[in-house]
Amino acid sequence: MPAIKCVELTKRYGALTALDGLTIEVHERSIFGFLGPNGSGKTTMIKLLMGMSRPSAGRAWVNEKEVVADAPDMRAQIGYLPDVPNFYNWMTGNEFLQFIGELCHLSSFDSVSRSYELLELTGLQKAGKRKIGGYSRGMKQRLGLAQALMNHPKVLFLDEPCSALDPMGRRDVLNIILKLREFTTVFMSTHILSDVERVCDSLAIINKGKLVTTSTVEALRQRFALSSFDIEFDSDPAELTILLENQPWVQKVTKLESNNTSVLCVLAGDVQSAKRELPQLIAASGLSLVRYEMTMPSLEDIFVRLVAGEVRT
Amino acid sequence: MKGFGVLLRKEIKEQFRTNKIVIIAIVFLFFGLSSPVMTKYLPEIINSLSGTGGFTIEMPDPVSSDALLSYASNISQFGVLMTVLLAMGAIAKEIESGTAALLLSKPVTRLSFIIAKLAAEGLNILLGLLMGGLACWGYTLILFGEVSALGFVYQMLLLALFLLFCLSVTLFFSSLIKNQIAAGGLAIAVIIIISILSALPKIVHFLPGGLISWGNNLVSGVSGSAEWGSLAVSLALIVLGIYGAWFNLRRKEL
Repeated sequence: MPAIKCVELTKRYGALTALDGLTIEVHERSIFGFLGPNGSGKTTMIKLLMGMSRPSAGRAWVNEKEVVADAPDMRAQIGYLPDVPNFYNWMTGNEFLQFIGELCHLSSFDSVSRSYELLELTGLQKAGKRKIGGYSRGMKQRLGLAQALMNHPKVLFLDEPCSALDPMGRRDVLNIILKLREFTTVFMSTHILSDVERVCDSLAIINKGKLVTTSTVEALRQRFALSSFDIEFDSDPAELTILLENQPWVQKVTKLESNNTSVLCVLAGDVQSAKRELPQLIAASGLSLVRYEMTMPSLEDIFVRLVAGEVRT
Repeated sequence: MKGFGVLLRKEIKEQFRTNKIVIIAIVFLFFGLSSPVMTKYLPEIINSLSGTGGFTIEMPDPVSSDALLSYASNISQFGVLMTVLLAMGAIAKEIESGTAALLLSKPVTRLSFIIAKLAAEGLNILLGLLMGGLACWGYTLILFGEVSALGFVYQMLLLALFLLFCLSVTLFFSSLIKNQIAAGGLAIAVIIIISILSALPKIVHFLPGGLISWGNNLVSGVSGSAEWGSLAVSLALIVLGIYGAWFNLRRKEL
């Protein structure tokens, strides 16, 4: 049984369909990236899986228990970081964590020691003594992560965990997430692709509430391993462009003009032929070559192509 | 009722740390002290002002029970207002700012969340009522030389119940509407409508407003005017308000 599972999960707000029949499985102790542009339904999905909002149709299971509203026992083993975490401004960070610890049924001694542990983990040792009212947005984000980890959750939902963080903070948070893999299943929503590339094992991409694709990060790269070549010249390669467009192993040629040079981006359908024949064609064209580079598609390219609907899966 | 104890401790702490307990105490103490003074000296002030105008207003000499009635009357207006102001944001603000979502993602039930609010804010108001009441009673004793005790104790209990009814109504609207000003406004409107209905002769025996006239009669020493109907309805409305708040919160998508 997967740690998180949902079948045909749908959420409608009146005429608006925020989520449209999502079926996803997340394996235990994996880090799952939930990707989508702004307003694609990422937060709605997490709220449905947390039981904070009721689905219009479909069912979901977390930790082998069906998600229902107002079920405290289910939540005992779940951690949750909202997209914009907010706290009681009159409490200090330390006090808040201890309060959350006690809510999670830790003894007061355990709450205190776990609070210090988490303040250190999230880099809030000094700020922990100050009132939350004076925290910056990034500090609140860190405190939000700390409170989500209070109960050593088996499943952790993170809604945009790296938003509002500086580059250092982002690296820290990603490292914390990586360390969690030993005992926790992490479900994180984000639109930052490099984060997913760094920590996630598998991912789902949604757009306008619909599932575009779900797979492991590696399998997705393999599937879209259409190699492209960047070829830069210091004069206009008009003839070569036409020549290339007529080659059977070329899928698409785009020409980019910059100051004094032009770059041909060649998308090859057959990588082997391209590697063999491209240099010969360039040499035969008599143009002077500035740069010749083979580029692998980044997750970002894939994401943009999938979301823009360029590629059907 | 999972997590009730921890939530209650947090709510009580919040009453102190956000100075809500001090504000309530100051307002109730103000009315506790001003009611006897105004009762004792207002007729003299009016007479001294109108004396030069060529006519005098004949007023009976104030007695100590008038001071206690004046306190009750002030509480039934300003005490109610303070109760609504205190509680209108209790749930609405937590939902709006997202702290409710964070809290309710922990192993606690929504019922304990609401009951903890009711208990902490109820305690705050009752503490204010008690302090103001003691101040009023003591000052009346000093100014008038004598004051009845038992009637006043009963009146305080009935006022406490009336304020709890107002608290329950406010919590209901606070859980219904995200905007705390709107929640407070609706709570005031409902309480005023119920108070206006209490002016009707027969219905008053079954409305919370009856509690105040019952208390006034006890203070004035008028016997045989028990409003058991009002008492029962008030208790029922308190429970209903809290049940409604729970119902609202369970339907809320956080």
